[in-house]
Amino acid sequence: MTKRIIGWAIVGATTAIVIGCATAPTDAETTAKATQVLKASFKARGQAGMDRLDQDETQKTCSEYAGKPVPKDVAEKIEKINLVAIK
Amino acid sequence: MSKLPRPAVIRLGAVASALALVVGVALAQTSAIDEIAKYRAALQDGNPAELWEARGELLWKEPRGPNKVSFQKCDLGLGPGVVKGAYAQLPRYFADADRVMDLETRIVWCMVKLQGFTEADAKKNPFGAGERKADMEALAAYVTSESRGVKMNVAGTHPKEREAYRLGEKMFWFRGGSHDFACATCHSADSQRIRLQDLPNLTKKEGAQKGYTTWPAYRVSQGELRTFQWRLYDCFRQQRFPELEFASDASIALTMFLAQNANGAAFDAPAIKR
Repeated sequence: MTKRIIGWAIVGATTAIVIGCATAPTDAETTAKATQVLKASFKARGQAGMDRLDQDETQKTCSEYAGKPVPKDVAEKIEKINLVAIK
Repeated sequence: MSKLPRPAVIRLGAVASALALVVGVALAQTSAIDEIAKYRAALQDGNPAELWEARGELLWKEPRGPNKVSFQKCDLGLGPGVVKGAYAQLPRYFADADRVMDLETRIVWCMVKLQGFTEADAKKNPFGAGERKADMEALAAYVTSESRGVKMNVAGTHPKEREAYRLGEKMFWFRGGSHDFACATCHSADSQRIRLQDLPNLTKKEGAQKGYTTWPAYRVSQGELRTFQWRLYDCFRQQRFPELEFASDASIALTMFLAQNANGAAFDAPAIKR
């Protein structure tokens, strides 16, 4: 009897984990949704147009790391892109 | 001293001067922060926010709108008409609307569903200016005052509440605009300030609690009581973003992120700020 209960408990816990993993959005999905919600929550005003919510690659990358250290290769790439942008 | 070679004396002098300068600046900064704290404490006596709270209470109890009913059947999450402690648990998921709402969004909901206003009318004029006072700010002042001293307890257990939190966190770090700003630019480091205003580090528990629990606030410089929706609206304006729509999904998600991070702290508003 005890073995059967334990067995069912394991099945239940496994199912819960599988469902949880299947339904939790990935970080990329959350980022995409946040951008979409942001764009739907603002309106252009004067010279502050909606294009100000369009991120370039640097902004996208820096937002993604959210204050955490950026890996060296990524940092170098950002630096390179931005050095080229200096006229 | 006379035994030291001349260049060494000069170097020592330069180091000492630099040290004195750094210490002097640090002391001046501390002293300025202390003086600002004293100024704020002095202002606490007789906070004009009380006028907004009193007007808000009248508006809450008065039959209004096409249906001529009061807010006393408005459910802020603790049951119809229950105001005491309600703000300390907002934003939250409301089954009747099937969405997460902050205080202002819920007030709009009640104005539409109970009082019969159109949504456009309910959302009109959310922020007062001069003689044009905003009912929304008064209502928010009253409701929030009924949570003064109550510990923040935003649940975040419903899937939609969890989603709002995750989206709000992403938005906090979202860099954009003509000046490449994010909320985090000003609010993810210690001891930042814009002019005389301290900027709490919202990535730390203490900063998040201090930052969130002191809004709404009467702004001395504006002669108005400002809500948390206004705080977000004006932060984005200063970031040179387009205009944040009142009671928008982004404003609710950001509020959820910040409010939940303030959990455990006693709510202490309407406050008074410079």
